[in-house]
Amino acid sequence: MWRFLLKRVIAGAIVIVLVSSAVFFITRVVTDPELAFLPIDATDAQRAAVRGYLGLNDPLLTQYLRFMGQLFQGDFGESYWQPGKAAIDVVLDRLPATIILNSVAMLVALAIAIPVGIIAALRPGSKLDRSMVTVSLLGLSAPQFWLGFMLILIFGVKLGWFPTSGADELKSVVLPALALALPTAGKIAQMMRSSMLDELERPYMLTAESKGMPMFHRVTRHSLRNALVPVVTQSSFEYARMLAGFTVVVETVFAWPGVGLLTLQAMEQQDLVVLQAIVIVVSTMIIAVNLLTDVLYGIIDPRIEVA
Amino acid sequence: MAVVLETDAVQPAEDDRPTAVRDFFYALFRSGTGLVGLSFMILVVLSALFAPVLSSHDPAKQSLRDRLQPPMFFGGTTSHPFGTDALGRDLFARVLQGARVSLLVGVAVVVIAGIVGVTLGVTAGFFGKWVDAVIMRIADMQLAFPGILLALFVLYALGPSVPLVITVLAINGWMIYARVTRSLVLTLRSSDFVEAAEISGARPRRIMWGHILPNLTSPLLTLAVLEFARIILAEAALSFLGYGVQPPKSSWGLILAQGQDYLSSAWWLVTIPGIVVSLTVLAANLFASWLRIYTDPKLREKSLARQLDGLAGLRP
Repeated sequence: MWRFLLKRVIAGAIVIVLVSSAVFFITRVVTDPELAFLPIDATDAQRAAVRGYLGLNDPLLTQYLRFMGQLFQGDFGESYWQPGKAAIDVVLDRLPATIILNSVAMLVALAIAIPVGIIAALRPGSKLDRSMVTVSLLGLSAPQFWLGFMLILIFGVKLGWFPTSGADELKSVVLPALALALPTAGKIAQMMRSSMLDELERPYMLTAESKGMPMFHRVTRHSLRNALVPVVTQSSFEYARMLAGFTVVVETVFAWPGVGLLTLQAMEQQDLVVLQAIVIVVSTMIIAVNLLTDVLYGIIDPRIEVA
Repeated sequence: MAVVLETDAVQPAEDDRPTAVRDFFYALFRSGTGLVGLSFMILVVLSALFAPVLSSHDPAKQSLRDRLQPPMFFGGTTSHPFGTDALGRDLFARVLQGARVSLLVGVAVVVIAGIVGVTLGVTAGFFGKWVDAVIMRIADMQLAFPGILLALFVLYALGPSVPLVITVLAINGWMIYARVTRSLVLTLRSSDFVEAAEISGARPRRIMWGHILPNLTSPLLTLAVLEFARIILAEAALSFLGYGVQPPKSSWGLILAQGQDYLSSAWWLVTIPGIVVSLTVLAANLFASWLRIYTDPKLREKSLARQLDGLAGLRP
């Protein structure tokens, strides 16, 4: 177990190094760093400051090693948009809001998808099953930001039940979380259904049935536990995908003050220092989610020897 | 029917072509969802191709006198079936024009990522050893990258354009093809008919082209349709954020972005293009899920058995 985890941590660290290298390559090699790091109307003094700070006069390899060394020490540089503030702090300040939004969305998605998937699987081919499959396909086919607009239109503008922007009250999380959750719920419901169908056909279910075990117990105590294994994989994958992109779109629609909205703001402010910090922090988050999933595996399914 | 059910998932490639094609269309027409999905996709593609014929309006022509007209059936006229935007441009014509760019991006990304991914996947699966290890390690690593965020970062740093959107999304998407292809090649290589071909003295190249590649077609086709759906959504998201397709070009995501300021005053500017995007993606998903079951005899057998069970009420 520990050896396995250590291996995964090392693999994760390599991914972070690769992402950071990609960031370096894109900002220093592919584009002109002076242009990328500064607004077009920057003064000569600002340009000189950037050249000095980034050490652009040094050979590329020196620049790269210094960049990686600074990242390793947690030094992401100073934000241009909010002078005097470290870029990493700008990002970390916004991180809790994003984690809350995405976690609520994931819980909502699971709360919808698991029952729907189970019920659909119990009567395959029935009208109920077909309509559930179609609705979940419809859910995963809609763009999150468009779902967001529709939710704003219906529950914000027409009905006035929920606030449509910001994060000032508890109710604010409802609409953005739903916009993030619905497509994910569609995907997880499909996975839950097919995985449950496979389990229901196993011989042990027939044994349980012939013992006279009630259906509710058969499903909840026997098949659900096994059927959840692929669903956990899918869910963690979906959570990572939310963090890696969907949250940017949804936070923009709802002005949710998280890392996603920060991404857009940093782009508008041309704050590349904050942007590169965002990319690296989010990559780290994704690695952490994947690691957590591996640990979770061992708990749900003891058969999987994580070695 | 029984003959069909007993065939194995892995079949030798030499089958009776005309019958296979006829079977395909027969099953498609009986399927309902698959037919609806494919028909709608064809409809969207044809509408995009024949946009100038379908709409007499110039999508870029502004007419302030006709601004913010509602769609027909909602108080509008048949002249502007989807209504008009704040500059008086015809929304129907704009959606058709946007379809061209959105579909182009979708198809281009699927083709490029597909060719790269399948080539690398076949290479990894066929040669094995360190080639396999290197390719699959890269694919695994890249799967842990924050895809859309990194795409956004690249588009921001290099300046957004349609070719760059295509490139970035293709770099983001080749891994899935590589993984699927590799696992298929590995399964096929150890299958009886490939062994039989090897024993009878077929060269590796012949085994590759004559026996393995033809069997990759249908699972990869399904994957390509699913990826197409995903790419349409990704392009819409990037363009919506302002770092995808740029004006004066247009795409579905961009039309949605431009409509968002009128959400409460002109609902149709966001609602209608969004429905078009969702239906297109839904159609691709419906077709893909039918295709997946149809082309995999094991799944087909399962789904048939389940339907029969459901009909007879055997299952609780």
